[in-house]
Amino acid sequence: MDHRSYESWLLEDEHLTPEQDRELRQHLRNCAQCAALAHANRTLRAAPMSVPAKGFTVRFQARLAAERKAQRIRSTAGLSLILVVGVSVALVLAPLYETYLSSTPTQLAAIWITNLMLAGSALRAIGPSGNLLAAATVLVPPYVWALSFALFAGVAALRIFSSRRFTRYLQARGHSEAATSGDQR
Amino acid sequence: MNEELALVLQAQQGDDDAFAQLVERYQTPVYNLCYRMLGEDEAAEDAAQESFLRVYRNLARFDRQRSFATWLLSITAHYCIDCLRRRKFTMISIDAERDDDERPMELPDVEALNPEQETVRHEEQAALQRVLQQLDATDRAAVVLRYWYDFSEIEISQSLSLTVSAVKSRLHRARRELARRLQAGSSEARVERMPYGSPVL
Repeated sequence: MDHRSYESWLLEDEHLTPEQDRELRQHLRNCAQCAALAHANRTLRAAPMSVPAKGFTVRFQARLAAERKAQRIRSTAGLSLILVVGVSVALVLAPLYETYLSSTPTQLAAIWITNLMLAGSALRAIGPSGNLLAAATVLVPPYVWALSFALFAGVAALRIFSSRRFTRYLQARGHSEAATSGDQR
Repeated sequence: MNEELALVLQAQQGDDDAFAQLVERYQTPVYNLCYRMLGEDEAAEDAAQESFLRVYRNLARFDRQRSFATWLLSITAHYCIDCLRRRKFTMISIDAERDDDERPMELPDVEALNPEQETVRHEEQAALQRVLQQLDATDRAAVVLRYWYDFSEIEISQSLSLTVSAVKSRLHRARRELARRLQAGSSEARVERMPYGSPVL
């Protein structure tokens, strides 16, 4: 048998028969390359597991708590920024929409429908591409428009409400976790 | 359902105590993989902690058909490979020069049955750790998963996102390299032990 077959036995970690094992041992006495490979295999198999310093889990829990705190701070900062920008934009634009702000919901709906009809007329004036929307504004009765807007407003309100609830849930969970980790410590 | 899967399910539902039990259970395998990959205690501790954090963040994505240990070690191995790649770009290449000076010296166990044999074993393990650090990051991960965790070639290929034939060739190459370097190291050590004598004698 040639050197490559023995090398392949060593590299493939093949289970050898007693006869093959004897043959390999014989070869290892004469082949430095295969002997080095066998030695490397033995050293690798004898290598122990390195163990972390005591208190690894406690250190992990502290790190997790610190990460959660940082995440909460980031979320709060992000939400505050959005809120500040939103309020600023609203304050800047408020005078422009004073009519809308002081109107009753019925008046608002009437204004929106008028605006849509105007938009439809404008599109009709632009060309054939606007015909479809113009037809829609004429064909769809005003109460359907009002219902659609109410539906959109409902969805928006639901979204705002659920995101607030979710934020509160995360905060409550964060507090309870902080309390638990405090107890464990 | 086995205990481990039950803990994973509890952890997925937000039970932090269950996750802490998983950390307790797997801290040694994860730490050992990091230590064998990165070669330093401090870096290994940091990488092991970060790997558990990644696992925690991605718990919802865990496929219950897979073994949790394989998934965990796969995340750890990928993280260590990324660390080594980043280190390659940010550090001056002194890795080849580094020996085990940074690690507290492992003294032979004087109470061991054969202290001389114990010393040889320590030297061999220190040499292995040094030589391991000179392998390519992915080759190193394949060798560690193979020898410390008894992963099959298929498991290694799944863990490291490689083909089975790529794993096979990487393992062959890495072991030839390890054998060559270990042999070179032991010949140098023999010469060092008799600095005033002729190597021939």
